[in-house]
Amino acid sequence: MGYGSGGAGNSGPAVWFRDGSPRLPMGGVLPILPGSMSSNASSPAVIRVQLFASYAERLETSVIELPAEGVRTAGDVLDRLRSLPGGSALGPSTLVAVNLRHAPRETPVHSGDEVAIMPPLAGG
Amino acid sequence: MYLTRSPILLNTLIAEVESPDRGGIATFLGTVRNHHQGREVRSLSYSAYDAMAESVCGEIVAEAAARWPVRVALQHRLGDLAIGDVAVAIAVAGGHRDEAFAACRYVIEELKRRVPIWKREMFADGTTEWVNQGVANGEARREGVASSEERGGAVAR
Repeated sequence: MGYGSGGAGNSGPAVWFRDGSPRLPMGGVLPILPGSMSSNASSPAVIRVQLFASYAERLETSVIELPAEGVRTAGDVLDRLRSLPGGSALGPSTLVAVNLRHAPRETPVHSGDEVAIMPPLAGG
Repeated sequence: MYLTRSPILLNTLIAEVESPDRGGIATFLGTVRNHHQGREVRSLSYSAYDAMAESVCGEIVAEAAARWPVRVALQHRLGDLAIGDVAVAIAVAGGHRDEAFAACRYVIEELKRRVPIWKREMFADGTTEWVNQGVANGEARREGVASSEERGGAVAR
């Protein structure tokens, strides 16, 4: 499994895509591949962001590692993702979770937190 | 575990909550319906942010049990479902019906509001569409809303 440089093609931060698969297994849990990029002690701190449902399809990955530099809040994570190809799918009703809890935009985010960007919910 | 990929059996949930001192048991089933905004639905697929969904379901069940003197069982199914399949089931047992109805309603409303689960509908015309996400595969593109058919002893819209 190789990593592609999935930069947005603009001046935004470098972003690495883990998974080039645009399609999810129908109804399946999105695969989260075991990571190696952040295990190198010399690598800069990253924030690992999970994407779900239509967002994973539109951004063509279920996990993105954002350089942590300059990313302070859940809203910052969302702003970075919106600058990526397919990021226009993340509309005003996009939900953010930090460490398994719904997180308002101002919620602080740190390297090592489990961050998720989620479409409007449709359970039940 | 609140999420399951196997068919949901309501009797199993009832057995989890019933006891001799609980004389009122309210249940709710959400099932897959065959239409959405005038289009014929063939099947549904549910996916989830599993870890968070489990966590939030646990919070909701605990909240209900703290607010009313009840015992609560909850399951939500993931994966491919056919028309009529049970997508979500809730059983609440209390000493009397008032708290059972109230807690059952609380759990389904909070689940729909807070639990990270998503639904994709497969239509008779071969297109598929994420519900509520404004994204379609194929030419159809509509905004939708959660649409599982709802029936049960506790909650009616």
